[in-house]
Amino acid sequence: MEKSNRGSDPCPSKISSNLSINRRMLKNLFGESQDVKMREFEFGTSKKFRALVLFIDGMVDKNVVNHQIIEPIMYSDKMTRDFTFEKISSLKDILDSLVAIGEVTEVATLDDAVQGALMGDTVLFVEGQVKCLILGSKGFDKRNVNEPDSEVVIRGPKESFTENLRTNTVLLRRKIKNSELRMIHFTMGKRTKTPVVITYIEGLVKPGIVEEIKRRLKQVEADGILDSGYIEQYIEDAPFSIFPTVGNTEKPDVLAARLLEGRAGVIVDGSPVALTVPFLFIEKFQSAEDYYSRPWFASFIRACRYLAFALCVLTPALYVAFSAFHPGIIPTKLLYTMIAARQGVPFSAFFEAVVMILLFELLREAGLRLPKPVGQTIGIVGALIMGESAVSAGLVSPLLLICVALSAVSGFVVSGLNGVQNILRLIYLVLAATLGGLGVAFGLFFTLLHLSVLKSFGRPYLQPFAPLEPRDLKDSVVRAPLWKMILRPTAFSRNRVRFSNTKNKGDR
Amino acid sequence: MTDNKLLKVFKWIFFVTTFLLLLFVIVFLFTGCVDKQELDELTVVSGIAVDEGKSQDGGQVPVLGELSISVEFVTVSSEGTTGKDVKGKVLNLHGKNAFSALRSAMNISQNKLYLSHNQILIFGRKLAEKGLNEHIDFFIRDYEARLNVPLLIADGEAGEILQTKPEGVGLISEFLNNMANVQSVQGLNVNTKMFDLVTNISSWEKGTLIPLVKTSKEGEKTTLKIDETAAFVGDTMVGTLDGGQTRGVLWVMGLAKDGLINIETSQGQVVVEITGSKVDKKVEYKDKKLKVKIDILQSGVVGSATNGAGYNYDKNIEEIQNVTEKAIVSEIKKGYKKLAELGCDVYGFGDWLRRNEPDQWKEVVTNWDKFFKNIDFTIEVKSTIDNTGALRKDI
Repeated sequence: MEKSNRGSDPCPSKISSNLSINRRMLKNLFGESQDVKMREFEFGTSKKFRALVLFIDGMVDKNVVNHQIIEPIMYSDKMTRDFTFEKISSLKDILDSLVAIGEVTEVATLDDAVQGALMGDTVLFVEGQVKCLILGSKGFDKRNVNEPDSEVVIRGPKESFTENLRTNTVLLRRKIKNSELRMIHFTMGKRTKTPVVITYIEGLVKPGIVEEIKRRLKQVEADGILDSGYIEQYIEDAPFSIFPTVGNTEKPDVLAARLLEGRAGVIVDGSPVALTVPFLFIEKFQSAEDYYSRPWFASFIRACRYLAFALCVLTPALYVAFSAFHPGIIPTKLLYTMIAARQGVPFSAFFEAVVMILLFELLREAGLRLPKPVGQTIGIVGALIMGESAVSAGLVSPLLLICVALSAVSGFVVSGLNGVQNILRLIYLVLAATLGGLGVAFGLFFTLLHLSVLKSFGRPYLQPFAPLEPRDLKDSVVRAPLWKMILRPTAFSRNRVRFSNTKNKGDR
Repeated sequence: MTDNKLLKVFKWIFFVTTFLLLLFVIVFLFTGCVDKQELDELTVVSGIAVDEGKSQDGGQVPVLGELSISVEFVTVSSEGTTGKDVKGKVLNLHGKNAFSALRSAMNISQNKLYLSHNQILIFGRKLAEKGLNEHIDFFIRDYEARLNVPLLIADGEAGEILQTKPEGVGLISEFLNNMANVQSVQGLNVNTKMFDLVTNISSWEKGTLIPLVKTSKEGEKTTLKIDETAAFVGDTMVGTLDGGQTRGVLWVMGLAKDGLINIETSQGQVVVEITGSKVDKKVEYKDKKLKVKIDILQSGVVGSATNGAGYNYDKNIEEIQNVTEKAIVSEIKKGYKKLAELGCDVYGFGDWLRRNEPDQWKEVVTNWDKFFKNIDFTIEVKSTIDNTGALRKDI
């Protein structure tokens, strides 16, 4: 256990051997909270000994508290009949023979005791002892393991993480049944004291990454950590960039796959999303399903994702650039159609595009927040009707509508990059409206420049494209058959060989 | 203390950034770029016809030193939410030269003309016979005008061509564009684009062939026809070639890749469809005469035939091939005769000599005309018939 956290919990740390003093201190600490229960009882022949049990109602498993902590101490024959102790010299006496709990920790400060109670365990104080026992008895309500909301697969495991840290680590352990899978515990957030776990596979992860994560986590001075998103924003490499440098996933099999490639993962209590570092640009285009299906279609779909990203980001910008600045590029027949489409539209192409994109975003957001049956309808009907009416009213041109619709739909293909796509799309649109094709070229150039410089925990963001690592291209735009992927990506691990039926190539 | 300093630095950065951003926004969003124009403000030109200047009130008296340009531009109207209606309208412009004439469109319509989608460029015959150099300069120099525009010469007034309305045709320029492209498939004609003409003008004594378009009246209706080509020496038109002569020229240039050859065999008429031809030529100056050796490899198939019953192609293919070869040779000779008469070196023999045998060329250069008219041809044609269609024997 870590040292006690000071700061927002100023209290004397020592446990007194006098039970009533302890009780008073605890009462001061917790104040009026009615769900904090303290139960004093006597045990032993001639009721010589007193003990205090501290727990929080609802967080403990009542059965455990009653039958495995209080009952044995109070009723066991050892205590009532055969008890030979005259006094309790140390807690060990009680521990050894009476308390039927697997998870036991002995602590010496009140802070730790209180922390234990807040985690859902039961704390046992005994009169005359300056230490207390924290007994594992967690029994709070938690969500069942069910399908992930955001990473839907058709073929492949459908489990997803929940909000409970232990459930999540268990889900992970079931994927990697190896003693080399390490879980390092941290507590973060001054007031929330959220438990956080760093997980990696010893021997696979590149040395230095775990240390770096620990270092960054230690530097975080936050009041509360409510979600892994907080941690992501605190430890990421480039907080001002629109591109994420920390990966996330809701599925244990994805996390396991990434750990097996040599990355490290961070699981946060209270969040169903686990983080993985380092994170490369190409990872957003990979989906778990790619690996569970056969390579031919998977490669095709993966190439489609890159295309979808390009379409989403560039279509409105290119429409505006070509129609306003370079009509000469457009094929003649298409030009006539575009002119016909623009007859009578009062606004400039740029304005139209911005309005349509904003409208679409509003519809999407509204559809998200509404309850399910209503949300679906609003989404589809709203979009359709609004689009059609806008065209009939002469506010937008139908061709632009198609461009924006195409952009929006392709945006959903790589849904992990949603934020990135939205912003890039707008930036390119503004550039196109001011500088035409040249503007878009500028935008693309600077985006590429930015991406090339970006690093994620020491790894270049655009690897394996730049610096070019031909061996790793197997898993970038296409997905090579699994039996071809015998080496791990160089980005993450020095231990390159995945399968042992090929001759071990040793360390690189 | 460092906190204060840091704060100051941040403030400064913040204000500078905001200022720059605002500047950027104002400069670019509100002024925009020079070239920017909305699509419905474009007057898209699809055909241009250049003639000698006529007086503005439509009189027939040519005005010297001026140009009359007819321009067909496109008006597009939308029908509801689907469909479009594309119509062409013709505008008559006048000016001292091509540029001023086209720019004067602003006085009549409300927009500047947009030339990038121009599909056809027609020059009147009279203008062509006087020389086109000064008139095509604009079309090469301007950014919008494209160099791959097909060219046509009008037998008469170019403006009239743009104003004919053949049946079932929407945009006349598109119609002419298609005709120009299709002609080359037929093999009897050429499809010359602006850059071809420009290249040839800049070469030494190289001639160009440009299709000649005529209006013909069939009763009430006017149709357009292309069956002759105009021959140019440099930028001046010197005469016309008919279909057969044109193909004769094309054989030597290796451009006769499609088309039909009608031949008479001992058993009847056979039509051979050309599937390809390759040419190898060598020019030299020997014994005070230009000698040109041409090797042609031609392949074809039997397209149709009216032979005696039971004509067996397998046995008589040799005969067909021989007759084809003779036909080709005679076509070439006809073509040459006409070109020699006009003094127009479309083949590019002079240019070839200049590049490959400069010493010989030096001797020929002063009296090129004379030598061109007296060329000794050694023509060897090897013709192969690949197949005879679906029949090996006649019915």
